Amino acid sequence: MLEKIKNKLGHFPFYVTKRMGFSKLKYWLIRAGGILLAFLLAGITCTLLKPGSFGLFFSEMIRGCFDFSDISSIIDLLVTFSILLLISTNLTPTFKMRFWNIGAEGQILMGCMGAAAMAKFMPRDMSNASVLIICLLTSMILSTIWSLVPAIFKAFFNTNETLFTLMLNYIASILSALAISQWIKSGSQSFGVLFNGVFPSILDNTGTLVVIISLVIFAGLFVYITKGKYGYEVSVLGESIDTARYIGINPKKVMIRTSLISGVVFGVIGFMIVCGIHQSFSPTIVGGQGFTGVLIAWLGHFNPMEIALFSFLSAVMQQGTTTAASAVNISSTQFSAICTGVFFFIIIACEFFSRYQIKMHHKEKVKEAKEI
Amino acid sequence: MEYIRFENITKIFGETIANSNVSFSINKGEVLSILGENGSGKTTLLNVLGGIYQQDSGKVYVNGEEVVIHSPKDAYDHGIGMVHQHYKLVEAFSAIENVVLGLSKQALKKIYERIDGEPTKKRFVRCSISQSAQYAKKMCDHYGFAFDPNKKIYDMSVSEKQTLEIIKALFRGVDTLILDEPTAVLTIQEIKHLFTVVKNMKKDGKTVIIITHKLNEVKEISDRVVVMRKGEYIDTVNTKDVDEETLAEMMVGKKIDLDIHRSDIPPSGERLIVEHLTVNDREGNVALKDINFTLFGSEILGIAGVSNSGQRELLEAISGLAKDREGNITFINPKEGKPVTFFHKDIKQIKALAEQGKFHYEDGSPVSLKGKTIKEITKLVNEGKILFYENEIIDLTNKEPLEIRNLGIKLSFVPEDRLGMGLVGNMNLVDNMLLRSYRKGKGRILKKEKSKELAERIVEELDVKTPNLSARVAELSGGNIQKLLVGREISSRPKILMVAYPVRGLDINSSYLIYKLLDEQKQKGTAIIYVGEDLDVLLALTDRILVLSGGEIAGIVDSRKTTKEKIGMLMSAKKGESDA
Repeated sequence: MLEKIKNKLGHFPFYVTKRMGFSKLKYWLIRAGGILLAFLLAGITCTLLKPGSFGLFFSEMIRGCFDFSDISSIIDLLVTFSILLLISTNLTPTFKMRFWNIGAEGQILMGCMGAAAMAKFMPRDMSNASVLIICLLTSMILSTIWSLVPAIFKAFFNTNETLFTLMLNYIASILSALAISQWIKSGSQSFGVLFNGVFPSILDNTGTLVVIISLVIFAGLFVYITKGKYGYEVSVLGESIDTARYIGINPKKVMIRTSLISGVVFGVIGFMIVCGIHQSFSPTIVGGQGFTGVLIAWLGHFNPMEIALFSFLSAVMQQGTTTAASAVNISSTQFSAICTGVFFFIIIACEFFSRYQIKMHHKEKVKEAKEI
Repeated sequence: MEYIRFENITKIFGETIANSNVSFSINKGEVLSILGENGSGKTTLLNVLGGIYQQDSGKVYVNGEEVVIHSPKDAYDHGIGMVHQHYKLVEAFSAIENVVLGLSKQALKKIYERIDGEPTKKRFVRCSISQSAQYAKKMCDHYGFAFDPNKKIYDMSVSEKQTLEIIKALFRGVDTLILDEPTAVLTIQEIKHLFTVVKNMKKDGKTVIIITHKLNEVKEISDRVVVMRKGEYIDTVNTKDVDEETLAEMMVGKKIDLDIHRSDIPPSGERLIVEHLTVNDREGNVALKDINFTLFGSEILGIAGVSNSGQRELLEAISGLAKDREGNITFINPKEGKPVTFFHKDIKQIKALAEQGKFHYEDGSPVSLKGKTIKEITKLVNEGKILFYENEIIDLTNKEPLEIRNLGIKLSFVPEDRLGMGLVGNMNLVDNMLLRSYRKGKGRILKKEKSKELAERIVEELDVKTPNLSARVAELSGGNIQKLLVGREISSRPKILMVAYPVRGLDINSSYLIYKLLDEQKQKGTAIIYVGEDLDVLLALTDRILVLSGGEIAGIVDSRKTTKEKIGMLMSAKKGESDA
C-alpha cells in the first residue's frame, strides 16, 4: 500500500521533521505520561496472564518497593537503584567524550571475576578486611584493563570503540565461565557462597554499605562531570576534537584518562556486586545492568540528576514487578524483564516523538493517490 | 516579458521565518541579482525554485502557469537549473560522468537532438559516455567553455568545478540558471571569466539569477536587482539607476559608512620571524613550502590567496596546531625596559635569569638576587623595580599550543571554523569564554566567575544579541558568534592576533565592527595577521599583503601602493610549475 502510494507520488506520503519550540514542561508531561503508561501496560499484561489480578498487581508492586515496615526490601530497592545509578553516571563522561562504551557489562564482570577469585583463594585465616582490600584492588585492575584497552586502541589507531567494547563483553563472559569450570572441580557449575571477603552488615544487611559507597562515588562523579576541569575537557573533546586541540587539550591523554577513571569505578562496582550483594559469582552475575546503564545514561541526556530519576524508576519497575509476579503466581522469571523492556521502549518512543514529528505531504495528493 | 513569478512565498523553519510573503517576477533573458545580507532568505527562496525546498504557502508561476516543484528533477523539467554554493559533484568521477549522471537514455537522446538542432533520423542512437562527451564538447564550444571530459573532479580547481556545474545544467537544457554566491571562492581572473560566461548565456537567451551580497558585482553584471532583507522582499530596481550606497542602504535598512579605517602608525619592533617554514597538511601533502617573513608590532599583515593555498596551515603552524612542520618560528616578546612579573615565571626562573644578567634596576645598575630572601625578591618584582635589558626571544618551533601558552606568549587565534574550532556550539556563552582560561586557578574545580564577567563585558561592549548568558552559542547568528570569538581572543591583550576569514558570512554592520576592532588592536601595538578573501577589504585595512600561491609566497606587497589586479596576478602565479 505504502509502496503503491510512494510510486504514485514519487515519495512516501509522510516525512519526519524535527520538532521545534517544544516547551520543557510539555516534554516532561509527555515523559510522565509515558512512564505511567508503562506501569499501566505492566498491569494489563499481568491481568491478561492471571485474570482479575489488576488491583492486586499494583498493591503488591507498591508493597514490594515501599514497605517501610520491611527495611530489607527498602535496602534491596536502594541497592538496585544505586548500582544502576553508579553504572550510568560512570558511563556519562565517556559518552560525553563521544566514546561509545557499550562494554560496561563486561568491564564490571571482569571486576566481579577478580574479586571472586581473590575472595575464594585467599587463605581462610586472613582477616576479612584484608581480603576485601585485595578483592577491591584486583577488581579495579581487571576492570581498568577491560576499559583501557579499547581506549588505547581508539586513541592511537582510531579503532571503533563500539564494536571493540561490545566484543570484550563476550570475552569477559566466556572467561568467567571458563574460570568457574576451572575453579569448581565437582562440575556443579555453582560457585557457592563466599566465606571471606564479605561486606559487614549494617541494619542487618550487607547491601547497606553498597548503597553508602555508591552514593559517595556518585557525589564524586557528579562534581567531576558538572564542576570539574576534567569534566569540562571531556565535554569540549566530545563536541569537537579541533576545538580541544585549539585550546591545548591532548585528545589522546584525555581519552585515556577518562577511560581509566571509568575503569576504576567499574572495578569498585564489580567488587560491590560480588562481595556486597551476592557473596557469590556466576558469569551472569551483572545481570544486564551494564546494558541498562547505557540506556539510562542516554535517556538521562548525560545529566546526573535525570539519570538518578530513571535509575530509580527502573529499579522500582524491576523489583516491583518481581514481587507482584510472585504474589499473583506468575511463574515466569522473564515477566519482570519484559515489563522493564516495555518501560524503556515507551520512554524511547517519547524521546523520539518529542524530538521529531511526522508530517503528511500535500494531503489532497495523497488522497488522490489512495483513490487510484 | 514576465517569465517566472513568485507570489506570496512563505517558508518557515521551526521558529525561523526564512521567507515571508515574497512576491516578484523575473523576466526572460535577463541577468537578475538577488541581493541581501546573510540570513536574508535569498538562498531559501531560490531553493524553492530549484526544487530543494517546498514553500509553506504561496505560488510559483513559470510562463504564466502555476507549478509545484518537488525536486531538482522537476526543476529541470521546467528548464530551471541551480548551481549551489557547495558543489554537488561526485569527486571520484570524471567530468563527463558527472554531467550525464542520472540521465536516462531517452533524456540523452533528446539532449543530442537539441544540441544537433534537428531531430535525429537514426533509429538507434548510441548513448555512450564518449558519445555524450562529444555532444557536451560541441555545446561548450558554442559557449566558449574549456571542457576536458575525462578530467576527474578531484583534480579540478574550484573554478573548474563551478564551470562543470554550469555545463551540467546547460547540457540538461535549462533556460534559467540560478548561481548561488558564485564568486565567493573565485579569484579576480576567474570572476572575470565567469562574468564572460554569464554574458554569453544571456546572449543565447538564457535567464541568469545570481544570488549575492557583493555590491560591486551586482553593479557589474546584472540588469535588475531584487533586494531582500530579513526574509522580506524590499524592492526591485534597475541596476543602472542606483549606486552602491543606495543598494547597501536598501540591503541593511539604514545608512552605513562603507569606508574602512586604517590608522597610519609606524610599525614597532619585530614580533614574529618565520624562516624556511614547510608544512604538510593532514594527508601528508606539502601545503606550505619555504615560507619566510617577519611580522611587526602595530601592523596588520594581510594574507591573500585562492582558497587552500596554505593559509590555514600557516596559521596552524604558528599557533602550534600543525604537527608536521619544519623551519623556524621565533617570537620576540617586547620586554626591553619593562618590569619582570610573576606572569608565567616563578621565583626560581627569575633568580636564574638574574644570574644570567638579564635584568637591571631603574637606575641602570645590574640586578643580582644572590643572598636575597624570597620575600625581598617578591617585593621587588611586585613593585616593578626589576627591568629587562632586552626583548625575550622565544623559539616556537615544534611547540604545542599548551606549551606556547605556558611560556606566557599571548598569541590569539580566531580560526576560520568558528563553531568547529574556536567555540563549542552546544555550550553556553560563559562556558565558551572559559575555553581559554579554564586551567587557571588551583584545584580540579572550574572557576566560572571571571568567564561570566568576560561574557557580560563582551555582550555589552560588542552589542552581542543573545537572550541570556546561558544560551547555546549555536543558537546565535553568525555575526554574534564571531563577535564573541573575536572578543574572547582580544580580551587577553594579545601580542600576536591571527584572524582567518573573520567576516565570512557576517552582515555588513558586524563586518565593519570587526575591522574597527582589528584596527584598535593595531593601535595598541598588536601584530595582526589577517587572512581574507575580499581584496578590497585587504587593500583598505592591512599594511602589507602576503600573497600565497600553491603554498608558496608569490610576493609581499605594500597595501597602500598596490592594486587589486596586481594581487590577483600574484594569486594565480604558479611558481612550482616550471620545476615540474
